[in-house]
Amino acid sequence: MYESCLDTFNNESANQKITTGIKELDDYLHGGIALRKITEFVSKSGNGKTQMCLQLSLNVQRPKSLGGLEGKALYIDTRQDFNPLRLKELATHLESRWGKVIPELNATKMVQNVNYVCCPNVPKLIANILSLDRFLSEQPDIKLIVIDSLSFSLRMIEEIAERNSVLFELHNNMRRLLRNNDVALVVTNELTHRLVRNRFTISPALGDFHGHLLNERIWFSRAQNSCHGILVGKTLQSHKLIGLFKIKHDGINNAIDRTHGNHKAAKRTKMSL
Amino acid sequence: MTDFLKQLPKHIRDMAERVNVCTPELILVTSTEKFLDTRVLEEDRAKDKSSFQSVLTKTNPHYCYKLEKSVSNDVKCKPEDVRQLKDAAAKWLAQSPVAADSLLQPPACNKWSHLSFGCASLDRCTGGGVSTRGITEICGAAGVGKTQLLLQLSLCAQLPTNLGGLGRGVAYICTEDVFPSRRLLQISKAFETRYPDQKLRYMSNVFIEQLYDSEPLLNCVCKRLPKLLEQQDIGLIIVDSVAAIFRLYTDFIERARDLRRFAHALLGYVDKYKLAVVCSNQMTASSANSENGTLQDMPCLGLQWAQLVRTHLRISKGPRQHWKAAEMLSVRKLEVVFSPDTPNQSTEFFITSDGVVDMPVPPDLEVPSKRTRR
Repeated sequence: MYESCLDTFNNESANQKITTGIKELDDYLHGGIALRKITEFVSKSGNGKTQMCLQLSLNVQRPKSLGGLEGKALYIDTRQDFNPLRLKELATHLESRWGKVIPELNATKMVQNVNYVCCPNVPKLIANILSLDRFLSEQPDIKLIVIDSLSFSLRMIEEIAERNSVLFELHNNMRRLLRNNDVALVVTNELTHRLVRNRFTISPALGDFHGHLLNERIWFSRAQNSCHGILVGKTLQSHKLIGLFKIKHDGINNAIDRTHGNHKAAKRTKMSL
Repeated sequence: MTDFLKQLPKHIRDMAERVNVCTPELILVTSTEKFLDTRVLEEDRAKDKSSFQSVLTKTNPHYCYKLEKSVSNDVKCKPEDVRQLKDAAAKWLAQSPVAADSLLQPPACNKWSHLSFGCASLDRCTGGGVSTRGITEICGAAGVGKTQLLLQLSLCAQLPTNLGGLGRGVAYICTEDVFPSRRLLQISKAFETRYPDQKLRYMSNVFIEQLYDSEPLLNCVCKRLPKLLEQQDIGLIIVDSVAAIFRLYTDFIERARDLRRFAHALLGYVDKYKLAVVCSNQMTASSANSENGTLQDMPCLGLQWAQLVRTHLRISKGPRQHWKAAEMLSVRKLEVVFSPDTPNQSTEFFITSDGVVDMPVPPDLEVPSKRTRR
């Protein structure tokens, strides 16, 4: 039956989100990464996509008493970027924050709650995505699936038509998964040069078609003082800067000190994508 | 893969065999439409080369179809059959995920090991040395010491694991100039004095290939290197340098495609044989990122290559110089530009006749211990 828009709005607001750790991004996303949606992180190398994915795999385990989902994560790695030692380091820092609320959630347990699978080539990636339904029925606690990165594998297919048909089928499968399960899907992407009106411009890989099928696209960029900027919007022409963050040993931190009202500093900061 | 097809019902097996897609890998990357297409294959190719259809199916083994041919009625495939076939292929190939904490224990943790540089400050800065996951890139201007560092790495790789090495051989692909074998001998003599108990024949475990063009390089990496990896126990692949060959391309799209093919092959070996791959890159001057058009130094090969590497290290030669044993040496700096393992930190080192060495710490100065992230 049909439900009214007000009911849908209430349902969505009631749905819990996975906090990203950056206040401006959480505010923009109305709480954090939403369930049953595909969120994409896109940037050049070295701007924090993998670090953000590791951080989210731990943030999804936030205790319910602190407003989190208390769920588990699945990390699908195609680039061999995953580092279990870095995950352990981040978990140790979170343990000191959450350990007071749930003493049994220690760093080892948090690392145990992150499942990992390595997919070095396209057939393995497709095989694992198709098998996700079965895996999720065995492990219903999983609330976050990270694919790092989707484009790295798919761009190895040289024929564009073949690549698009594989991407289309993958999207079909991912959407079916999101309809049937209460999980969030986070995907990372790369930048590429595209020929637009005889000029090469930087744009996300995998094309516009993939861009339309995403729910949210978040860009990271490099700013001064080893900060990184967060931009939102689906295309380069329409994106806007909403905040800055720093990657430190204890994870992703806000770069702006709000107590001193440094918002203007963010606008003045020189950004380079 | 006859075992895989045998377990499937007959009509699904026939559907796969009709389009000649029999392995699980091929089944997963083939589109559903191809399985459902029951039009009879046209024997002769399209005469009209400029037609849209012939261009689209240029690489397709089933060339242009002629719609006048009849649809074969005895074979009727449904989309559910294709889904069943793909699910079976996925089940065959899929790996079940493991909990991340099992990756911290042996034997899985060996995948995330490091190869020491043979120099303590460089190891501290890079979190143990060169990672055995992904491709490590070392870039720098001409003459800063990239090849020296790579030569030292090829010796360190042969040391046993308790000394920071991998205990395996090295494949060295040289694309610039002649391989400096005399310098390698000089550094190996220094290693013999440093590690007198290790009776290793350093020079005989380094396999060298000299190539100056892109076709031979791709042929070497894709076809000849697997044979070497099967016969010898290789722990490190060095490509010195990637830029020398790929800079010669004029077509950027082709260059991006060949770079991806090159990196994909190397990453396949990293995964299969658990080895480290190091590539060196050159610097170029570009005004792309600067606002007033000034030329800035940046690594060659652009965005595409930068996204294929996992760890990016940059070496520069400082203006500072240092006296050491009556020799004036330039201070070199290694900077971690990005890495999933460590923050962006930098350190300094020297290159002497013994190879890459630490900066000497003056005995009278109290050096505060740098907080290392592990």
